[in-house]
Amino acid sequence: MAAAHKNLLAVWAKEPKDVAAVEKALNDLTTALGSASSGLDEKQAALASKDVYEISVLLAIVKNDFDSFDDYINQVNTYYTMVPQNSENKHLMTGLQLMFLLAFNRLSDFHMLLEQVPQREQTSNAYISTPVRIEQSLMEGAYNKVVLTEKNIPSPFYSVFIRIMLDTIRREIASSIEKSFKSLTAKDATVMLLFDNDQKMLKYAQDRKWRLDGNRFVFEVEAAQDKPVNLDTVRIATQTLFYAKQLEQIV
Amino acid sequence: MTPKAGEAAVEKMEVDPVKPAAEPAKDENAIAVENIKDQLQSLDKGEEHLVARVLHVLPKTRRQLNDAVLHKLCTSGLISHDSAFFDNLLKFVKYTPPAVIDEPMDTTSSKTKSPRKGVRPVYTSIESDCYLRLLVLIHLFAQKKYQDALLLGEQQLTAIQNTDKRTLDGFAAKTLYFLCVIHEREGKLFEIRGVLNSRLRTATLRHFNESQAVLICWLLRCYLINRQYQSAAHLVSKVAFPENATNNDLARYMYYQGRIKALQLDYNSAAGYFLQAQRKAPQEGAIGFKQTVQKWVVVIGLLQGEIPERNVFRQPIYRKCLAQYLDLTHAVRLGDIAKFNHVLEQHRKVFEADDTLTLIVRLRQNVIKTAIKQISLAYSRIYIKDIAKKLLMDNETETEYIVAKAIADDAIDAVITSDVRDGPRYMQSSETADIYRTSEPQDHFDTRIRYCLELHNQAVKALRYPPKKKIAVESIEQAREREQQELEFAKELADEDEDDF
Repeated sequence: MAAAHKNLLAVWAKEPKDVAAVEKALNDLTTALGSASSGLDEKQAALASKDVYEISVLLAIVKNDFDSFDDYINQVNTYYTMVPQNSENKHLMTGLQLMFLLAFNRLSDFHMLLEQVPQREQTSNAYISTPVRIEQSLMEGAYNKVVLTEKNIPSPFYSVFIRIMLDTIRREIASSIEKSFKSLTAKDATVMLLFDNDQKMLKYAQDRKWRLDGNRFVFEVEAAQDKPVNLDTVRIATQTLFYAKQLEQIV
Repeated sequence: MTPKAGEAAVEKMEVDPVKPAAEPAKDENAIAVENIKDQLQSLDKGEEHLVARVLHVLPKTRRQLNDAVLHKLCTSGLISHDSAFFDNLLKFVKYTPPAVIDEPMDTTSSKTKSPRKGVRPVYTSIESDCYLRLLVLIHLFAQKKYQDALLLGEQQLTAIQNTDKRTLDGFAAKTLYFLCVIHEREGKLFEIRGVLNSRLRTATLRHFNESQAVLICWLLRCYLINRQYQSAAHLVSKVAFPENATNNDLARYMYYQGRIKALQLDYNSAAGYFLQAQRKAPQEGAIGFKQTVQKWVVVIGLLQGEIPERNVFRQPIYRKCLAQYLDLTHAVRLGDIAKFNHVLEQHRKVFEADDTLTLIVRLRQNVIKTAIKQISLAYSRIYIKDIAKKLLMDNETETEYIVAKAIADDAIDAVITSDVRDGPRYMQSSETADIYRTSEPQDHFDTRIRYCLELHNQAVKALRYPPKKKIAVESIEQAREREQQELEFAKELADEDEDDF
């Protein structure tokens, strides 16, 4: 088993990652761990299973396989609660999980997980503080800050999630622009939508059916306010009936 | 048995009000012993509502407990079914009565009790056993003899489990409560969560409502203290809180639920739960609980964009503990980011201790939104650059995104535009529409009516009725007794258990 363990670490350390080889090494080690006569003491076995769990998580990110990422990350967390002395990578894992939840817009899970991290770590630990800052920027609408963080992420594995978020952000920005601008030059649109060249932007604009007038996009701010207020009779009737029923019960 | 117990109660009734006036010097211990003996007698009837009554005055009884009282109770000639019972209890009450002083006390009580004792020995019921054990347990707890208390508590629970009688549920609940408090004081609460879970399962299966309520509350507390929010959320989604639980337990449950909802960003339900927790909390006392809940109410209100009313902060019990939150409210109301940051820095420790820090950090976006709203109200047009200056942001692009988002979120009614091509952009606010021409007032009126109706319905549900049986056949004497009891009961309700929190 010791050999399988070493093999796994060696294959994993190679750059660029050979997914198939890592998977094979993982499988080998898992079978070795499963068999009763592993020939190792408990401590080494625990260490080996730690590597199995952690590498599974990271591999899932490399493969962009987020369903299995969700599974593995939970396994890792269980492992950390059971073997707290081997949890030196815990913050990286928690940080990745936070990024994952953020990227997939599972905000309530995000906050539940964040609450479990001590306050001190939230600001001082780079693994944790990155997703925390991104979340704040997202909520405030400071989208450019999210892009800026991509340049100084604590671990290369974070970038996958930031890329996913970038799509979401672009959608958000686009809908904000539609509602708040009357017109916008193509050049500014490229900057605001965080594209590096006009072609990409133009294609995106086409997908969203923006109207191009010369070199400006024109947006129609819909005049919803002027619409006369209709008497919503159905709603009023249901409300009144509800009151009547309740009053009936009281009297 | 019943008439005799009734007679005893009448005796007590007539004597009780006179006692303090006639013999002010009389030893308080003796009164306590008398009271507890009376309680034991009513317990011997083995009726559920009598058990509830005795437990209801527990906080009052608790204050009268001391070594002498307990020792006296254990040695006063009551005989248990379990012969080793009192010997066992005495092991916990380490007290040797000073013989001389004890003598006069004995004569006063033996005047009424000894003849009857002579005729036939009084066997205590299981209820009484449990009650005595609980009293000793509480006493041990008060003296911080935690190890002994834990041991006794375990004995109590085993005894209750073995007899499996419905009336004992109240005692089990109280015992569990104290066991949990002790575990928490010793910092070992998390270790017993397995035990609590299995007990909850049993209690739920057998419909032991009181135990169930206590257990659910403590499990939630255990999870929240140890930051196991996911488990707590799971628990809440799985259990059905017993409907006839006491108000105190209900208040706690509401509070914990509010905390969980607040974490899940569901501020509306969180606010609802905190409001109910506030309403269910006892009028008098439980100040600590009310203060904590009030803090959460303020924070959640702010997160929802509501500014709490000024008079909340003025009430004497809240004035001091909410001082930091008042500063915070000022900052949010003014949309003053510099002040908000300052408050956050200054009171960080306090907020962290209150577990509200993460929520307060989330307030930042509200502050920004308020600020933008105020700018849009004050200026009909303003350059993005100037907004950035006002919001203390060094980056115009960022400000533009934020303003655009505010417009998209319908926080403000404005457009971003520019006069000349590629000129500097500015934000132009639209005219504010007359809100009374929309259906907004109707909606508000509707929510208020619903709130009132809901309040009424809950009040109706909260009404309690006395048990119906036996009313037809009671004699005049019994009727008198019952009325008196109800009077006392009402009085006790008024000063409901403040120690409990």
